[in-house]
Formats: sequence, C-alpha cells, structure tokens
Amino acid sequence: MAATQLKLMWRERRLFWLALAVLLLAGASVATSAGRLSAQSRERLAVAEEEARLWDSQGVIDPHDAAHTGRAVPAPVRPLAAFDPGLSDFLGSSVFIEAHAQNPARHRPIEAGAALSRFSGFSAAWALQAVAPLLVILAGFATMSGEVARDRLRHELGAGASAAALVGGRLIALAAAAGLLTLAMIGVSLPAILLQDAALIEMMALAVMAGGHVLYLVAFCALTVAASGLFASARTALVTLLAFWAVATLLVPRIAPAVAEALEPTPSAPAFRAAVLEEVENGVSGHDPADARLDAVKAGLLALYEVGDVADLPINFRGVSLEFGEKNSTETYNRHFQRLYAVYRRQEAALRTFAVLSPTVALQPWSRAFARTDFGAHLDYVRGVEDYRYRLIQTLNLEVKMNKPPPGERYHLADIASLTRSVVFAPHQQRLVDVAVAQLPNLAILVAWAAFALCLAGVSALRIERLS
Amino acid sequence: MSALGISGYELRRMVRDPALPVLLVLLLVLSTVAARNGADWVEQREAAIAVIEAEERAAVALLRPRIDQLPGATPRSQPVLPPGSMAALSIGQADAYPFAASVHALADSQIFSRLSTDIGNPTLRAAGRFDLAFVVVFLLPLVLLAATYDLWSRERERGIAAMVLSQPVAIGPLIAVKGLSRGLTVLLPAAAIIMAVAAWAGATSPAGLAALGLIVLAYGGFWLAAAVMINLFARRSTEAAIGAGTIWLAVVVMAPALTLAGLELAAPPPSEMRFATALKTRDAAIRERQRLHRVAHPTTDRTPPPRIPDRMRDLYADRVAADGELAPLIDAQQRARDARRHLLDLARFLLPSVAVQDALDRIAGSDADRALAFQRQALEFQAERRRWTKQRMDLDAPLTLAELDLLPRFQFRERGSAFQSSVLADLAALLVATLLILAAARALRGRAATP
Repeated sequence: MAATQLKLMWRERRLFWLALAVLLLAGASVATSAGRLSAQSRERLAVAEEEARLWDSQGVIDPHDAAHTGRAVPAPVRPLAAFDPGLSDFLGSSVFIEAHAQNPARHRPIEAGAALSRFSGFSAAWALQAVAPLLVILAGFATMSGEVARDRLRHELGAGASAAALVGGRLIALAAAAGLLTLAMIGVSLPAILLQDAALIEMMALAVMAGGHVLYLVAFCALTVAASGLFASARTALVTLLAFWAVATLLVPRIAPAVAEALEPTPSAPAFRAAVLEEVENGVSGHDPADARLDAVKAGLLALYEVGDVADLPINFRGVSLEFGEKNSTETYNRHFQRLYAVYRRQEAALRTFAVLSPTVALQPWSRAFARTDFGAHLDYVRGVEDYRYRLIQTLNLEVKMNKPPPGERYHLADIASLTRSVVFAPHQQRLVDVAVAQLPNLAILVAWAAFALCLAGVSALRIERLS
Repeated sequence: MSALGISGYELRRMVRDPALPVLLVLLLVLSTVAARNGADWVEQREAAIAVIEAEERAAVALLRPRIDQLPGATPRSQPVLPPGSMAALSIGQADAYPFAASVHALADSQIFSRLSTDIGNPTLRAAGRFDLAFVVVFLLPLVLLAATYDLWSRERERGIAAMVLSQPVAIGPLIAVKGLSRGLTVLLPAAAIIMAVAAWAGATSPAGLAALGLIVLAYGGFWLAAAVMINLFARRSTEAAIGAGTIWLAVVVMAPALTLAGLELAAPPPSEMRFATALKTRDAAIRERQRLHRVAHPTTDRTPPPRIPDRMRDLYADRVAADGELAPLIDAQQRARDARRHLLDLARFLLPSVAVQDALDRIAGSDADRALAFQRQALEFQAERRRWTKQRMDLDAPLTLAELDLLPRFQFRERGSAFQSSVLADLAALLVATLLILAAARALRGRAATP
C-alpha cells in the first residue's frame, strides 16, 4: 500500500519539483550561511587577537587604568548555525568587559538594517519547520478525499483491504517522503557544517535535531492523512489543513511571543540601568549607601591593624575600595540580570503553553538548543565572560591593594601583561546530555502531538471502515 | 452580459459565501491584537523615554546646589527620539537603532552606545513583531487569496466556464470584472478594518491614515492581479489554491529572505566588532600621545587664575582634537553602513512585500532613515553644546544657576510627511509590479478561454 502511494506521489511531478525547489533554496540559504559563518569566524579570531595584543601592550601602568581600558571578548561561532541560525542575528556577538559594569553583549547582526531586514530567518531548519509541512499537506490532502480518491478507496475496501492498512500505508508513504526530505535537507547542510570544523558532538546534535524534525513531520503526515480520511471533499480537507498550517507555523509562532511579552513585560534598558545604578549606590534596601558600607569596611580594617589612618595601613586602601566597589556592583548586576533572565524564563514558559496549538512552538527551541543558537547557549557564553571579567578586574584590584604607591607617586604601577597572564577566558559549554534534559518538555510535546495525530489517523481509519 | 451584470453576480455570490464574514472577522481580530501590540510598544517606548528624561532632570538637580563649586561644569543631556504619531502601526526598525543619546561637551562622539542596548528577550525578538505591518504584509494577502483563488478555476471545474464562454462575451473583461468585484468586496472592508484599528491604537494622523489606506489598496491590488494570473493557468480549485500558496510563500517569505541572504554575502555589513576595536586602539593612542604632550608641555598657571580652570580647557581641546583625528575612521565606517543600507533599500523596489513594509515603517516613523536623522541631529546638538561650552570658556564665564534651565535642549525635528518621496516611490514600485502582472495576464488571457 505504501509503495503504491509512493508511486502515485512520484507521478505527481509538480510536488516533486516544488520539493526540489525548496531544497535548492534551502541549499542556497545554507551556502550563504556558511559563507557568513566563515567570515564571522575570521572576524572574531582577528578581533580576539587584536584585543589580546592591545591588552598586553599597555605596559607598566596603574592597574585600575587597565581595568577601565577593558577588552572585548567575541562570542564563539556555532557550526550548526549553518543549518539553524536560531537567535544568532538577535544576540550580541561580543561583550566589552571593564571595571564597575557588566555590559550586555553588543553588535547584534540585526542592528542598522532596513525594511528588508525584517524578512530574515529563512534557513534549512525553517524550511523543514514551515515549508516541509506545507509540502506534506499538498502531497497528502487528496490521498483519500475527493471523488477520485474516494472511489479508489471503495474499490480497495471492496477488494478486502482493511481500512487500517489503507490509512497506515498512506501514512507510511507520506512519512517516508517527509523523512527523505529531512535527510536531503540535512544532506545539503552537511558540507556547510563540516566547513565550520564541526566536531563529533555537533554531528550528534545534528542527528538529534533531525530526529525532532522527523517527529514533527510525522505529526503533520498523520494529521494530513487523518483530514484526508475524515473529509470526503478534497477542498474541505485542503482548506482545513492549510488553515491549520497557517495557524501552526505562521500565526502562533508570531502571536505567542507578543502574548508572552504582554503577560511578562521586559523592563526597558534605561529602567534596568537606572535600577542597577540605584542599587549600587544605595544597596538592596535603598537605605544602605555604598559610602557608608565602605566606611564600615574602613573602620574594620583600621581596627584590625590597630591604626588610626588609612595611610598607616600595611595595604593600599584604594585597592580595598576598588575591590569592595567591584564586588558590590557585580553582586548588584548579578541580582538584576538573574531577575531579567527569570522574566525571560517566564516568557518562554508562557510561550510553551502555545504548543497546544502549534507543534512548531516546541520544535523551534528544540532545534535551536541542539544547534547552540538559543539563548541558553548565549547565556553560557555571557556567564563565562562575566566570570572572566570579575577575575580579571579583581586581579588588578588585588595588585593595587597589595602595593602602596612608592613615596612621591600617586599610584602603584604594574606590568599588566605579566600580572594578568594567568587569568584566561574559559568558555563553558553545556554538555549535550544537559541540553537534552533541558529540552525534555519540548520532546514530550512533540511526542504528544505525534501521538494525537496518529490517534486522529486511527479515527479516520474507523470512519473509512464504515464506507465498506 | 454587461460588466455591471457580471459584477452584480459576483457581488451576490460573495455576499452569500459564508467564508467572507469569517475571513473579515478573522482579519478584524488579528488586526486588533496587532494594533494593541503596537500601542503597547509605544507605551513601553514612552516609559523608557520618561526614565531617561527623569535621569537627565536628576543630573541637573544634582548639579544645581554645587554649581558654584564646579566652574566649567555642564550637565549631561540625553536627546531622545520620540515615537511618531503613527508609531502603533509598525515597530519596523525602531528596535534596531538607538533611540537615545548621551551628550556631554567633554565626552567623545560615541554618544549612542550607553543607552542603545535593547534588553528584550531575544527568543521573542527572533519570532518577529506581531504588529499591524505584519498583518498587512503577511496576512492580508492570505485573506485576499482565500477569497479570490478560485475566481475562474471554480467555474472551469463545475463546467460553468464552458457555458459562459459559449455566450458572446470577451474573456479579458469578464475575468477583470470578476476579479475586481470579488477582490474589492474583500479589500475595501479589509482596508477599512485596518485603518480603523490603527486609529483605535492611537495612530490618528489623518495624512498617515490616508497613506496607510493607499498602501493597503495598492498592495491588495497587487494580490488581486496575482489571483487573476493564477486563475489563467489553474483548471481546478485545488491547483489554484496550491498556486496561490506557492506565490504567497515566494513573494512574502522566500524572495525577500533569499535576497537578504544574497546581499549579506555579496555586500556584507561592515564589521562593527573590528570597528570598535580599531576605534579603541586609535583613541587610546591619541590619548596617550596627548597625555605625554601635556606632561612635556604643562599649561602654565595664570594669575589671577581664571574662573573656569585651564584644566577644563585642556580637556576640551584634547577631546575636540581627538575627535577630529578619529573622524576619518568613523566617517569611513558610516559610509560603509550607508552603502549597505542603500543597497538594502534599493532591493525593496523588486520585492512588493518589502516595499509595503518599508512604506508602513516610514508612515509609522520606525524606518531607518528617521533613526539616522535622529543620530545626525543628536550629533549636531553635541556640536552645538561644544560650541556653547567653547564660547563660555573663551569668555571665562561659568554656567550660573540662573542659566542652568536655559541651556539649549534637544528637540527632534521631524523630516518628511506620511507622503514623503520614499513612500511614493514604494507605491510606484507596487503599481509597476501590479501593472506588469496585469500586462502579462492580458497577454495570456487566451488561456482562460479554454474551459
């Protein structure tokens, strides 16, 4: 039955050409992505080298001056972004680290565009998430609906075939075609991914991503076969399926984020900054000025060393003050960023509830997470940079603290390159298994959709049974 | 059969079709949600601007009691770009450009970096904004195609076409009148719905609403022409539906996305990362050179000492000199950005959906050109602040308490109306595309003459 159905689909050449056209377009998209990623890799490597050179060439200066000079830490390029760019265009590609502040990542590719920039987002993954379901619908809506298909169905039933076999055969044929399309899409992406020096872990992630897409397409195949069996008219089946496709792949993924943001509003950048500065100045309670807290530290030190003036301390109080200020501002920034990320998490939870209406809402985060182009991967990078920033700045502050300026000099000077040689940026990357665990809810949703669609196909088989 | 007769028949058919009210109600609901989103965005932007203005007032209040002890001090000013009067219509490029600057006479010319970061959830941003512009660009064509995709194919399918063609009737006018009657039955209420919800969301400029109406009608006209073209080829309604879906996907999604990807590869944007590093390197070198120069040639103390300390004059002179040296680097980067944006702007003339998006962004005031006009005006304001500061330094006249509130303030000067030349160019591009399709349809009208 499946083989016959595949033969019939093969004869419908328009769909084959359409699928081929989509494949070619996805291939073109992957090729442009690969070119872009290679350019980004070169750019980021050059910037990292230049920043390291600049940092080391500061020579012998006041360590706190170096802390203000700062340095930029570019984000890594993700090889699987060639297949699923995910949020890449909406995330900053570099963080500028300096004393006293946690700067957000800057240089988002989406910035400084034009009206055309709002149309970005076509990728091999998007083709599988939005266009492939459309192809599945077009290939399968008339397999059992419409006068010709119904007549054939009656003949097949009359010849003794069971409805389950008829529905199952059509479903297997459609799913096989969808699987083939997924494989072809992965196939055209593979050279571009390998070109980005993808490691074994990336290839494993790609396989898991492909699995998610297959599950998603199976759900669409089953829904299509079910609609085709449930509606006698091909037109009704097509309109119903197209309406579902438009809602699931276009409308819900666009409306759900707006609803999520309305339910859980994100603070504006100026409000966020003002809140951080207020807390740095006046403490969490708003009545604990930083100056007073520093005075308490000073009093503690004077008591510890049993001296009456900071000048008599065996350590440099300027360094103590800088260390205190950095700890204070870092803790404040951390608290506020945690709150901001908590808002993001609540928004994403609200977004996920829309997966009831659209499996695409569950598939997109699944695919991005394994491609390392989601916010979680960006957060790993940003947290790694912040950890590096704090260690770097406090190393400089410690140097100030432990060294009083020579007599007649205002500041203690140090060779910045030697002082900070041991402080290196150690990017942290989530293990694949951790990503998988975090994505279990999305997997469960996809499985539930596939199961629901298969049940619906079963119901359609029962209805068809009555035709005989 | 007269044109009026055909038109009346089509109108009656459309009115009896239960799908029409469903489509229009759907459009109304989606437009209302989108307009509400646009209005929410305007509120959020205004709230952010209020925070910035409060910050500026707080800085002035902080300076007020200490102004006599700080001769030469001037408060930081924070120019802002307010949302336009039709802002609820389209968020467009408003998130992609800075809407505030931080101006100080003694600070460098990178005045947009401090306040320009968008901290919205990238997952939500990547999904795209659900605003009225999205409804017009992406969803309105689907509504129109749903109402017109089987304009002639249905007649063919049911055998009515053969009967009609046996009458003394010219096929071209027949299809044209059918398309126009059926299309306008959907398009006119759709345009009214979109304009009404835009006005409800606060986009109340009469010229803006008129421009919006024109754009919606022109874009609708393009899709009606596309529906006519599809029906010349399709012999079955399902074929027509597939054709309509494919053309929608090609025009609204794939062609713009692939054009953008191609342009990114052929003319990549200038590297902002490299620019930032190069600027930092150059700035550090200039400042070090200036520091060494000041150490070697210290400014001699004057007697009696000026009211504004010479240290401030040195700072000012060094900053202005540094900016002068950095200007070629900054200008080169700006030229590269402009060249790329120009290319993206040009591409819209070949892509009807992008031309409509561009026109809606411009009507809403969320286009790149308005954001860039703000940047230019903010930089001019900084230059004006510097000239004012220089004048006071030359006169050795520190800012007084009475003058604090009289300092020149930034006011964004709007450029262009809702019918600015770029919007007219977008309209012209749409009309040309529509006329080309109609011309092709006219040439191919014989295909519809076979039942």
